[in-house]
Amino acid sequence: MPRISPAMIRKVASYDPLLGLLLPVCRTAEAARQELHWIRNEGASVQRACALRARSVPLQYVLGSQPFGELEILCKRNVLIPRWETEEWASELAARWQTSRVTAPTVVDLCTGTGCVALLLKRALPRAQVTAIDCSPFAIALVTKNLHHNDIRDVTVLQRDILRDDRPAIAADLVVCNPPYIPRDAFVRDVTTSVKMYEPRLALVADKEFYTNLCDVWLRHTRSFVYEIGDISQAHFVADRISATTWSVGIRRDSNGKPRVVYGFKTDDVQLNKLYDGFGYLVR
Amino acid sequence: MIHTRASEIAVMNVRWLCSTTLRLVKKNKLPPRPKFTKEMEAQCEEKFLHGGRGPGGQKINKCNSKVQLKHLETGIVVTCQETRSRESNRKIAREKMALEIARYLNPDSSTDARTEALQRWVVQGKRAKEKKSKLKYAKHEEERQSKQQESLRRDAAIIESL
Repeated sequence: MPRISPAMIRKVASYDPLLGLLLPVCRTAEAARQELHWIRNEGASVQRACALRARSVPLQYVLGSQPFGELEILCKRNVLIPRWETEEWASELAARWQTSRVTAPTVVDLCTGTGCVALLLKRALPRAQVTAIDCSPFAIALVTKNLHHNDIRDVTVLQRDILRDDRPAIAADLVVCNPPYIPRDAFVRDVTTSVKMYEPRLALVADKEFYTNLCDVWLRHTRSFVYEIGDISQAHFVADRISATTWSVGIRRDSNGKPRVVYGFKTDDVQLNKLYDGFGYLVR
Repeated sequence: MIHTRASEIAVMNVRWLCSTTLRLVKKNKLPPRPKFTKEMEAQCEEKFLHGGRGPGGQKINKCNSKVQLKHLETGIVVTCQETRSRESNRKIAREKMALEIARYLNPDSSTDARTEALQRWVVQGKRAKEKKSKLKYAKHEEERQSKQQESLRRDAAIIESL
């Protein structure tokens, strides 16, 4: 990453000293101006917010929330901040289930974090039975807060470590999950400073544990699944491990063109075939 | 009763005739914004811009969600990243696009009716302010003069008593 020269910072700060604080973390003057505009609109203490941002604290932790679809998701330390990629596929998924014939599906959201995906699905499908599971106590507390904040009821919240817990899995029509998917070496290499310093490693670093867990445990209890991925190799891993005769597996790209989701459904299910038609491209 | 009512109406008419011929603009009764119709939705192409290359997903935490709308027939492009929420940015972009299309369809007028009314509303506010301040200073001036006269009179009374 190229260095931002002190002269550049001085120049930007001459318009507004706060912009000078934001520039090193936002990288461009335009982005800094935009961010200052958002901070001002939020009505928080602007100077305090900019000082925190100068120390690379994520904006969502500073302001305390992140919009997610039509929801406002509260964000706190020790819980991963929802990403736009997740918002994108979750919204699309919710819209597809909304128009489908299945009006009251059973949905399980694993590694729920802030609970964003579970809440979005519950908002879109009020009659769905949604269960949100996470192993972190911080996440569980935040999900409960978010339910209250968005005025959503009847979501079951469970604290469970799905990799180690041997209680039976829950039968579902849909299993969604945004698992940690950054391999250890990529964590050091690719992850930005702000994420490394302030977001929980528990929600970021893992190799293929959760995809193995999907294939070995959850597949037997569900009709379809949608898992976020960081790398296409994770999608191929799932596709290779799944029985090709009973499951259709596909990959969906985000609007940046990167493979972002691996999804699957029972091949003989006509409803689901229609529902997932065009969600991504099938690889199996 | 009838007489008084008639006279009231007469007075009102006179007042109306005397006041400015230009109708005052009311902020809560502006001409409507151009609407973004369903046909326009079909003619538009929506894109979400997230700054191209580099790592994505959990590796980076980008807050911006820029929405770009392109009207395929006319080639008009609008973008919006006013808020952090993609949903409200999409709404604002559609409003902007409707405005741009209205301008495109009506190229003679430099702006649309709503913007024009808003501009007039601002000018009108300024005029009202000027008028108010003028009145205020006139009142102050009057008070000052009456005080001066009062003191003069008092002085005169004192002199007389001497």
